Amino acid sequence: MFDFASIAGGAELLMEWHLFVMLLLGLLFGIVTGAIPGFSTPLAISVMLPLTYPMSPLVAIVFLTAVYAGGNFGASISAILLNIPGSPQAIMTGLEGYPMTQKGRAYNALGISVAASATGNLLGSIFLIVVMPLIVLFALKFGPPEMFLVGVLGLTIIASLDKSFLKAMIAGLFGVLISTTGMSSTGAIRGTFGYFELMDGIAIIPALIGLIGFSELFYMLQKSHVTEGGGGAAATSRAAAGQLLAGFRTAFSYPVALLRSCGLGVLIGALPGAGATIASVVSYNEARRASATPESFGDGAPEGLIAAESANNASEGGALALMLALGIPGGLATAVLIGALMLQGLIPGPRLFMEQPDLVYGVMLAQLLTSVCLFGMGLIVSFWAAKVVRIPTRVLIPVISVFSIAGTYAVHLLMFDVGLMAVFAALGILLRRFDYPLIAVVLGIVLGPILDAELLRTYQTFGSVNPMIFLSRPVSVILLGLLAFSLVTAVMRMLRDRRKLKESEGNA
Amino acid sequence: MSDPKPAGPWMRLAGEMVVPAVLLAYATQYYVGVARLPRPETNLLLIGPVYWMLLAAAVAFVALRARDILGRGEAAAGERQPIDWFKSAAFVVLTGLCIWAIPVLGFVVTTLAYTLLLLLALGVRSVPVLVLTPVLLVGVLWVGMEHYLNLRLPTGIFL
Repeated sequence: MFDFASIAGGAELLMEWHLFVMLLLGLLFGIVTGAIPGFSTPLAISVMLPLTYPMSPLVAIVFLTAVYAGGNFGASISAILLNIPGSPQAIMTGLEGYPMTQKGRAYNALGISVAASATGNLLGSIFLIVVMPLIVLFALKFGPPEMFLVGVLGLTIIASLDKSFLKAMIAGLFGVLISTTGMSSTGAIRGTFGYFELMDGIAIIPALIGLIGFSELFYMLQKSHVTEGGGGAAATSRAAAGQLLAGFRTAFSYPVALLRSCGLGVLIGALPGAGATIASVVSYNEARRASATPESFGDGAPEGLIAAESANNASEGGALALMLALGIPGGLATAVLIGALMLQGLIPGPRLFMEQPDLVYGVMLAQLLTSVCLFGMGLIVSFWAAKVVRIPTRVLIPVISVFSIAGTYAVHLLMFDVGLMAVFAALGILLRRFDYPLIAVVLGIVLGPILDAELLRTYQTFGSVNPMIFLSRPVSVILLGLLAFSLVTAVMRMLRDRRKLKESEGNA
Repeated sequence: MSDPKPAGPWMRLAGEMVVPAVLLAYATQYYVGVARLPRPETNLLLIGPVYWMLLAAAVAFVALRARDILGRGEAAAGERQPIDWFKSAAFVVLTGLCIWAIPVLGFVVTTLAYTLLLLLALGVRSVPVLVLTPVLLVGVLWVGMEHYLNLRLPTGIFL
């Protein structure tokens, strides 16, 4: 199973000081850009791509995978501090991280996030080296029906997002519906109102920034500071460092949640088209289901934050396994990485393993090194980034607003996206005014295209869509079992909450 | 700041109906539009069930809220915190104007003016903050995106 000679060869390739410098630079760039709303990881990798032309293949790929790792973590910083996820994979992070910031525990939340992200990344890298062939074989058993069920599994979290199940359902289903806008794979043009910019569907970044980011700014206007009571974050540098490290240690006091989330992250990351967002959503849902205190979720539960962050970072290992072993991109970021490999004259896939095993293992080992560096760099950047919550909102809001506009424009270099963001901002303000969970709409928009495409592929493959298709496939049956389990526990929790509410009303 | 005044039960119910009505209206026109396209059996494969579930959820929600608000006198949902209408209106209007003006005047000029006006509207009176914040912010974005990342910012009559 192990090719020790190639692993040793790969390790030897890493013994260059400038490779380590590029790794650190890539990591820093990824974290900083990841923290800017709208500056998604694929975009960060894309803009760095031209810089890698003169580099050797290993240095180029190590640099870009470091940007990838940094971006995955960086997106959590703005989600925790401002409730504005830098990228879609951080939507669940904001759900737990931002309430902690509002309670003056920003440093704690960032410490947890650093530890969970770096551990997720580290375990993902170890999985990548140790069990890559098994992961890939498992992932290949997922056809369109299974991928459809993975999407549905991600959607089941909507049932537990809000006290009002119906509000969450309405918001989530509306998200799924509008996510099908644009040209379908059969050539039908749906709901574009004649705008060619909508042919590819609703872009997720404008929707995310508008719905969550700008609506948050609107309600942030009513406060003097992000945190309750103003100031909020630790008064001295020593206290701040203490809180950051305390948060860092907190992540390791939930070893089961951490390991389970990393495992889920790697597996889901290895599924083509699933990606970090689904990994974090499914993992968060599982953490809530398994938690002894599920009622604390949504109010700053460390377990939720750990689950979301470790899974989305661990998914990187699975996605890289799929990319290196089979040349299949797990998501947009790995699609850009495949482009980078091709620019270097390398075609990812089984032949790359046979022809250049040292290089492949070099990339894997560099990923391990990146994870270790993420522990340190994540803490340093978080230490400085958290100071942002001390800035009064009257100064912070214009700054975030301009960054959000620039970040949204940068995705496709289109002002149309900025207009779309404004439409979603109006929708977000309205939904928040009436207590609808915005995250349900975002989940619908993220998962909808997967559901639509996979259901259509199922229909095209089998000529119809009926329950027997799902019941006759072993992996589908397992997923249906998980789905049923997830739904039953959500319904039981809902009934229990309702009973408790009635009892408390009766007592009152 | 002004506190929201308590409204009568029918007004509260009407308020609660705003979101389902808006979402359902959009969803219905979308569903009808897609159903009219050729090959509706493939186009409505996901959209059909999702639309009907949305409709059922909205109807159930309206019925339950009507029972709760009219029958039991429950309060309507919503952000309870007082709203500063001047700041809120300034933010919405200035952001809308900024998005409209960027392609006309250019990113640099528009965002400089937007940042300055928004800072003033939100109550900043310190001259160094009013000068340095827009200049540094737009400067960092312009240098970073145009020169470092090679991402062209929109231009209009000006930069």
